[in-house]
Amino acid sequence: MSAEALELVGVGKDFRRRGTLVRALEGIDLRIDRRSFVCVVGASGSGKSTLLSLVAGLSRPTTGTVRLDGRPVTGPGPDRGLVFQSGAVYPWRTVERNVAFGLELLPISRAERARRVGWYLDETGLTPLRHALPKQLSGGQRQRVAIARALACEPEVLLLDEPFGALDVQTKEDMQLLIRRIWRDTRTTVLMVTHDVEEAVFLGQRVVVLASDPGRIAADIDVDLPDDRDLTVKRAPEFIAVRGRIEDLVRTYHRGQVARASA
Amino acid sequence: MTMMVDPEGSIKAYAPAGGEVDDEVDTDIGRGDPPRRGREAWPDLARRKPLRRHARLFAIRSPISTRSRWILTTLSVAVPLVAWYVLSASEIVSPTFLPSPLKVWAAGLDMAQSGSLATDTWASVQRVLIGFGLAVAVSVPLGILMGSFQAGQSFLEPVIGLLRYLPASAFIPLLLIWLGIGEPSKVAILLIGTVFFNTLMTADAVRLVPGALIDVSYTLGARRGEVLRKVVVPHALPGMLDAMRVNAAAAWNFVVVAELINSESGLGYRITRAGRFLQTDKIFAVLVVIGVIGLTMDIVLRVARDRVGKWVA
Repeated sequence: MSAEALELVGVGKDFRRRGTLVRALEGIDLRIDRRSFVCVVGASGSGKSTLLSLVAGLSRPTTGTVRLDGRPVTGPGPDRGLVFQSGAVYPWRTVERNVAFGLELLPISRAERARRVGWYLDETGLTPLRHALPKQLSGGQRQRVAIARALACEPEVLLLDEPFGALDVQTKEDMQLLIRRIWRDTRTTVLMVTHDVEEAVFLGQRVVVLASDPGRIAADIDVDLPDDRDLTVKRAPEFIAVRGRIEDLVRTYHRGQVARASA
Repeated sequence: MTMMVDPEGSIKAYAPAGGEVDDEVDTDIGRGDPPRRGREAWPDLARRKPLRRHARLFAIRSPISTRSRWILTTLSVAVPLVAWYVLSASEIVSPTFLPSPLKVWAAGLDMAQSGSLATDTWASVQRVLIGFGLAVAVSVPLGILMGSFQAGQSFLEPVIGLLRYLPASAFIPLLLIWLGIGEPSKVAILLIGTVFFNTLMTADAVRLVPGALIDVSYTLGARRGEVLRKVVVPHALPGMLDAMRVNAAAAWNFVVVAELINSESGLGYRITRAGRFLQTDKIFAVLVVIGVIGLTMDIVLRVARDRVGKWVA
């Protein structure tokens, strides 16, 4: 077994939009170690979400392959849990039944399922809300449900697609701390897409910067901060330096795209 | 920890790249009158007169008091009843054309006591249950097929889209030839009248299931059948019940029409028969019964929908 959980080799993706071919991603080579936390940043239109849906198996790459533990990805599966920005929780299911969804499909006993659901509800702080319907929850609480539901299937990789993009700043920071704790407690590999550079630096051990049009890897930066972080690290000079460097990169590659579009 | 924000870094980040410096950048913000660059010659933007306040009762979507609500609800029933009573009591309209409410009540009571009302009602209700039940049994699977699979949509939409515009009553002569004057032709009219609309409306409800919900279910390990059963159907269920509520009302209309043509029982039959003997009081009584049953059906389905759709935000 290799150290890589996830491996993308020469991955490209084309879309056909009103007759014209749009290249969303080109030549993506990416290796993600088991138990690591990698963030992907880039301006909108850089193909971040496309990248994630390829890893999730919801769409197929035009070129190249995605491999999980050395096996090529051919479709979606519970070994790659996905959390959308919108949460996409089941509105007719209570919190605990949302978390139970993936487990209901497995041949396990009721008691076993309840025990597991209970653990993930606890981990995400949802136990007091277990009988609530999604319409009674705040945006942050709904994201907790989506995260707990994905985790309950014990995925090899947790894929997060701008999961905190629609949340207010305070809720977002709570969620960042939550996701760090989950990462520590479950030791799952995390691949997260975001446009918030501060979030990427705070959470990631590595930040991959995508350039737009076509989406390709512009930089791959190791974040040299201790794995044991709290919110005060956001004020440390090292943090600010890395963050500034990445923001400049994102801006440069975004500007490149804008200049070409208006030319 | 010091709050050393790298000043160079943050400034450099926001300065435009060399050569692209925009001379027009406004540096006067907050000092004196705002400049009106390029807009000096514009007149002041016209304003409208301030608005008079509306009464609460006539403000769009504004809640009214419980008292006003009850008064309006009562008036909604009372005004037509009183108008009816006044019209018939003053005999502006001949009693043969417009019997008084009391006469209608007596005629209804008479039919109820003789048992014919119950027989007729049950005959009509039974036809609706069979005809509309069949329509639901056919249209729900078809609608799910159309709403979930592009192939189903492409194959079914054109033909159903056309068929729904053929009025069910236009099929009556054909159905009498094909199926005779018995029960099958009446049930068939109900089926034709409701099955196409219910299919299309079910398909619409199914199409409203968010794609992200379906995608996320696959990543949680669900297979196609499980996605249909555990995601698509539960999400679309309140919408499907809405469709059924609308089409049940149509079915109730069609059964009366079907019975006007050729039958030996049913509320529609009772109306035709009473008409032949100029018994307008009986006609009115049956009309009232038809309305009350329709309303009851609607309320039952609405309660069911509200229970099933508790989760809808």
